Amino acid sequence: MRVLQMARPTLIVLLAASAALALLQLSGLAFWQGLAINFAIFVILVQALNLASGFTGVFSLGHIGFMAIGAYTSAILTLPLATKAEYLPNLPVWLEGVHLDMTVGPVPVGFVAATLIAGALVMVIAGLVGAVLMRLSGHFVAVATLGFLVIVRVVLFNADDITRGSRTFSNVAPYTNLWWAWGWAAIAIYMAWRLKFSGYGRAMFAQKGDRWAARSIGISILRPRLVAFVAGAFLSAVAGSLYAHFITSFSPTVFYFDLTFRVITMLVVGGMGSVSGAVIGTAIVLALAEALRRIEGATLLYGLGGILLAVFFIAVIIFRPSGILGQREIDLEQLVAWRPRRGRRRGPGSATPD
Amino acid sequence: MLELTGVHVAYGNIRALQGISIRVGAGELVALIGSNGAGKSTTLKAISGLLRPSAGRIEFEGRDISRASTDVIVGLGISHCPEGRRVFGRLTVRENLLLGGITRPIAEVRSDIERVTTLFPRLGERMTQLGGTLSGGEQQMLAIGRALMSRPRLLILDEPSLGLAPMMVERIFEVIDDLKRGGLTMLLVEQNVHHALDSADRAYVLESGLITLEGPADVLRRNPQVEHSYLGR
Repeated sequence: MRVLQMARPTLIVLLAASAALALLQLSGLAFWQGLAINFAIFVILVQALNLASGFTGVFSLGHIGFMAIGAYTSAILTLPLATKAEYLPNLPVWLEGVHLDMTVGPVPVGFVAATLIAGALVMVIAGLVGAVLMRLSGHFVAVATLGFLVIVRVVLFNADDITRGSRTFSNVAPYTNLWWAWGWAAIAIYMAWRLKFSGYGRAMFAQKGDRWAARSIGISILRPRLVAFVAGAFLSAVAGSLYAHFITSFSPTVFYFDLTFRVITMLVVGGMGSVSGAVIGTAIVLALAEALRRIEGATLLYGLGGILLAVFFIAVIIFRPSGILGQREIDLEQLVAWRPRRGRRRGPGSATPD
Repeated sequence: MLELTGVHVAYGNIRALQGISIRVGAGELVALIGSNGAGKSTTLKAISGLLRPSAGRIEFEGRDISRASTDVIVGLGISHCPEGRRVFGRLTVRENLLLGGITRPIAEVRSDIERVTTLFPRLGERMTQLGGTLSGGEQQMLAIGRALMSRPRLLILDEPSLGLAPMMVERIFEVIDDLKRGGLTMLLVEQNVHHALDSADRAYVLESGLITLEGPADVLRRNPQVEHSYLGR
């Protein structure tokens, strides 16, 4: 009974979101559908970085590298055999025969499998990388994870036989639709939420607050950081797979500084460490970027959008350095009951559900 | 219960501890006194694994822990309440306490919160408040409570009276006396030598990384050197 009561507001929000998605699907407004899918992919990316950095205070600049690996892995795995032979003639033998392009009824099972395989592969890589890098703190870890991003890029550019190198990778099947994108986004939000209010989450926030104090009471610093890093990497890979099957053609240049900093901006605007803040931050920056793009188009002042977005980001850093929500959360119950501004959850803070 | 033999600790070139030996028997309250920079906190950090000794041996209940990591040491039954309280300011009182029991099963930890609130009723009233919003004395209570959540057999207290109002200092020492009556073994570092020697069974005097005096607390209290240097008589 208690579970049902707690789940009710969540259920209402889920139903409302599904209804909105169904409406959007029926409307046939391709532009808005595309924007909504983009929104979902960014929500997953921001939630991934929130886990890895917002919860732990370990600044990762490398998660777009995981996204890149996820995108390429899933794209290669789902190519049909015929296309594959022609398109990637020099694939290693063990990859040649793989084609996860099967569907069961309307469900692209192969796509789901490829996404999960990409996620698993990235988790292994993140485990190895993280076991070394999560021992670092502060600027050092930022530089080291940036190094990882550069390594991924160099490998993607040079592994011609598998990735086509600097040439565009196209022919990716357009599996990603509103439902897949938002389904995964919901999973990402749920994962981040559950982790935040678990023992692991508390350990993450504790060592972020005071490393020595955390160690003195027996919190291992490495373990919660590694869990966050690997979970974030998994979500990044999922976002990569969704992106690949949405945009259907891409090259290694996409997965670099531009995208890295856009995701960081979204996270910082929403509040590092806030799950609901991450969604809000994503929405604001995405809307702003879209609006600025139109202004650019109308005024022909190309580059203006980037400048204004940067100014906005600087303003947030100066006037609201902890973002819109800080570490707090929006209480779904309050939101559904429509009594705004009363009970905001503080996040590891008050009102932990246990 | 705890035995340090010839322990050396160095911060780079600075040799903070130059071969100290300390014993803490079960049920004892042992005080470590000395001036600033003598190596008191360093000794405590070496015991709880926050620093690694460059030489010497640290044994807890017959087991060598000088190379063990802090989470293992806490699991074995040593809890360190650090200097300057260091509560997690952006977590609630309750979350601070839960984290103190991180090495133990969560169900046991939840029921242990009550034990701590019996000891510190004030904390019970402030369960959902953020740690950083408590007063200094309350934060010290929280730090001690948090350290007790791992159910230690040896509690290490680093300067529990630091920066507290005299009333609060009395209160903290009352709690320390209570814990001692309950049979808890403690190692206490304290600038407030008066109080420390009143509560302790035995004490060690540490000067520039060496033990210069040791003995029962009431003997040390009458020692002319201690009187002169630390009690100001």
